[in-house]
Amino acid sequence: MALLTPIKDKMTGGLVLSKKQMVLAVSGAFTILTVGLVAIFGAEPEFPINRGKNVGMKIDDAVDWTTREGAWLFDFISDGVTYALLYIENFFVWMPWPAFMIGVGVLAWKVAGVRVGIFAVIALLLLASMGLWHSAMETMALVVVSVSLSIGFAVPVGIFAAKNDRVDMVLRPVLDGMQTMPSFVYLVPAIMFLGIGNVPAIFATIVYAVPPAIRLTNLGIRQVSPEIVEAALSFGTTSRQLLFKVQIPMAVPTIMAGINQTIMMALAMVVIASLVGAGGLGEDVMRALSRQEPGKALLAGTGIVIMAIIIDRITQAAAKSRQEALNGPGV
Amino acid sequence: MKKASWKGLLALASLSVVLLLVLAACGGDDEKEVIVFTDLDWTSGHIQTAIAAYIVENGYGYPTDRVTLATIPGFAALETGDTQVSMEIWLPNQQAAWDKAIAEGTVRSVGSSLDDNWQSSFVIPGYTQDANPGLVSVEDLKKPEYQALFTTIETGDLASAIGCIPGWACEMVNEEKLVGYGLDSYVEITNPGSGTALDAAINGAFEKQEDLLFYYWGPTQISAEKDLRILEEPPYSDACFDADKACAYPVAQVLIAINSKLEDRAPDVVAFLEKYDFTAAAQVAAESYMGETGAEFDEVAEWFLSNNEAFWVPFVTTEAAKKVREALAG
Repeated sequence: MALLTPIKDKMTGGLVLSKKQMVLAVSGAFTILTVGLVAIFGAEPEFPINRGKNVGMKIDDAVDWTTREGAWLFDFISDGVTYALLYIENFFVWMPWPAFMIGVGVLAWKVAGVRVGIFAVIALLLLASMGLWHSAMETMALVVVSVSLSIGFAVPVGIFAAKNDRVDMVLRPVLDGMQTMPSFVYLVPAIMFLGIGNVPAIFATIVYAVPPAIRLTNLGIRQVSPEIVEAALSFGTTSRQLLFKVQIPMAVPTIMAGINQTIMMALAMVVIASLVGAGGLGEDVMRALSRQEPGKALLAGTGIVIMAIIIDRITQAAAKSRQEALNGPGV
Repeated sequence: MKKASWKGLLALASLSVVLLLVLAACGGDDEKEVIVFTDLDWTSGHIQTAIAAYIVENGYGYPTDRVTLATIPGFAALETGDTQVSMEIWLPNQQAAWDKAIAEGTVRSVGSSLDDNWQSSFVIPGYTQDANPGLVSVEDLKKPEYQALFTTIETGDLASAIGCIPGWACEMVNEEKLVGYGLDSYVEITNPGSGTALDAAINGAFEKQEDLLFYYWGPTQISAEKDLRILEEPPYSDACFDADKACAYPVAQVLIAINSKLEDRAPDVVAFLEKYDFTAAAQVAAESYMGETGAEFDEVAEWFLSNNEAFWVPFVTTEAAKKVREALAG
């Protein structure tokens, strides 16, 4: 409250305002004046300049130009990602469902315990019995491709940001933007560049899902205690050895937590992805909704949730056991 | 600054608060209730809504509001009475929802517009046809050289035809047409996911001058701006659509619809909407003005009304026409 209390002038006995109070008083008076003017004259005061239209049209031109001139590059990327996705998708679709269920069940049991293992098998049986198996496998392929590309991108970038404060400073608002920008804003140019279907869907998924993996890789490396780094350095490790033999292994649990978040967010993007023509459970949800069949939509949506829970439990347990291994027994 | 000025600021602040309250209280003395338009989220929807709302507001003195909504939520809002007017209900794409609402009596049609519309499952860019003059009819897609123009990695040897928006009636029709023409072993339908994505794919293909085979309809922004060619199909007949649908689409019915309660509340507005009509040609003119100037939909509406008196004056009463003219002049 000190800010709002005028100081008593020692010489004159009157009240004087400090500099901060002056700024406060003047800006307050200006606000009141403008609000008053609007209240009296009614009209909403226009901001004197509006360049929105021109700037927007310039950006449109730039997008058109990039589409034309970058066609060879985009076609190359698009073809590569499509082949990779088709290969993985064919694998998942080809794999007989009992084999997939037993495989996931055993993995969950080994990594996360018997209960998760049993849950995974029952949940997958439920998914299959609702006629969602094929869609679930398509979604699985989309998630596997986008998460692999995300990790391949996130870990190096995260390490770079951990080593360099300036990079970190620039990166932070970029990551904020990736997480909050409404996805259609970048999806429309992405479709113009890459065509319709799975490729822009994977691109959008990466944009949305990659930030937590970058942030937590960055955090994980920075969190390695300075004593350990100092000890390693005193043994004469090179900076490369320090990174690969000390910092990254110590950071693995945190990086795993980031990857876990990335997978969850990739699954959350599945429905948006269906709006640009990607298949899978998201398409089932959208189709059901546009035909006003909320029941069907709920089932397909639940399918996404089931996949998310299974993947979440397995990856979390993996991160936890890695953490325990680092801390050693009895900690 | 002295003590007095601090107090003065406080007095000014409280005075302006009181003033605001008084003005806010005076705001609600209009005797006419607001008419809310479902502002459909495509360009002809936006432009028609802006034009009709301008006339209703300035000519008939009803305050108007517009809520931007997609097809399905937009229709639901009209049924519940959250909105009162929808300028474009496309049949048969929304036939199921429409029939249900008509049976329940919640909405009613006040005529149609855009009677010169079209839709086709087999649209190609002008440059594709110029480079392949032999590609004229749907049957030509069976020829390997033309089929190869539209193959993608995902469709393999088949030509990819980008289909219609998931959930629209045309989705099923397109599938049936392929079988009807015996094209199903030559062409595979690719789901665009949404109208926005379909538009972006077409815009991208035109920038890159890539060959593309797609479902589209008009009048739309893209059909006004771009050189689209429609592959020839046998003309529409009821008999063919009852059978295998191996013929062109019928002209769609674009209805103007109101919530039934509007009739008692604003009979003058209903009378105006019953006379109202809009043509694809008018739509194209408005689109191209918008494309050239980058104008907002409201500005397009004002430009259109100012320059096309012959178009709208017959729809309104003499008094309303006078008031709209005054508003346009001011």
